[in-house]
Amino acid sequence: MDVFWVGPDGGIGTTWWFTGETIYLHLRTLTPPTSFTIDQMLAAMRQTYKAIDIDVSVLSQGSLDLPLLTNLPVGGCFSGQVSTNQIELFGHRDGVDASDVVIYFIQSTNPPLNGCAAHPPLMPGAVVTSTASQWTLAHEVGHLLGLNHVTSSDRLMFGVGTAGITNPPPDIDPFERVIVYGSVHTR
Amino acid sequence: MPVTMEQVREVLGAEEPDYEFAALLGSDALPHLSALISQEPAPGEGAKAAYLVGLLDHESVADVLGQAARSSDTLIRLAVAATLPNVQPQLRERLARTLVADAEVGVRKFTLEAVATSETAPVPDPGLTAVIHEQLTHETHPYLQQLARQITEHR
Repeated sequence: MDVFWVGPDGGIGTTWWFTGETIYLHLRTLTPPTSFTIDQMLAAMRQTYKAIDIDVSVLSQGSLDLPLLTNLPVGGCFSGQVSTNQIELFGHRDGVDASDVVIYFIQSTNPPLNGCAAHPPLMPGAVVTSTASQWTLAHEVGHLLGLNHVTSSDRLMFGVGTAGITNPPPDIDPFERVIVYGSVHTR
Repeated sequence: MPVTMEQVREVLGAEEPDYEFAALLGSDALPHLSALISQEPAPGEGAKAAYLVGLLDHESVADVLGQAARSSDTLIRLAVAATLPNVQPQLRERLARTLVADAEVGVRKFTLEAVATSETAPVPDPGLTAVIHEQLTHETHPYLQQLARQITEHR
């Protein structure tokens, strides 16, 4: 929340006072994104989640040399239905805490998607492809936190594509906020 | 009512497009998809368009995918390889002949997997068999060597 204060000289200031929870991310790059940098995606995600007092913390970052997995079959990208290649990729967690989220930046999926949050059991994570928008990372993490698509282009979970988000940063509404705070991936 | 470019871009613009739903646009969408592949107004849109073309049933699908298979855009060639299981066996083998020797390992992988696991054409393309056999001498990835060997042994 924003806290307003009055200084000894009578000046007025404002400080961001964090009272919420945090999402812990681990980033693994197989192929760097081309439309936006990872830093830009993280900044966009922090801006979006800050509005509901959720901080985004990156605990580790690294690259993976897996040329046969950077173009990843994901089927229909349905929760609980993953390909053998997804199981193999998401197995690269390097001892990450089971409640933390691992994001894999890859070249493409089969079929072509901007990202996909379907993951094997007990390996929470998502893939973000090279042509993702600046909001794709935040959107895919939204799925991991339990959010579904919506029809409003003002909101993060806009189902017709985050590149079409109007009035950025996109919103997370009060009902979605409750879901996010109830997720095992925020603490 | 004719399909508009706006409708096509709306279904493909999603983070996770529903391709089965998108295919309901039908072959009227083909001119727009062809334009998206050649002009790609937004990043990744050409690849999504190329994949969707493979789900449509029309005589011009072969020409559109044939051009896409020779695209300088790696993501478009990857999408053509990804959609190979969706096209008719004869067309799949013709496209695979171009894609199986692609410089991008992901294109070769999707192509070999499609040929290995999909129905073979009634008259297997001898040109494809020869290209895969030749590719075996250059392929450095053991998994792709294994796939190529498996295909040539069964044709």
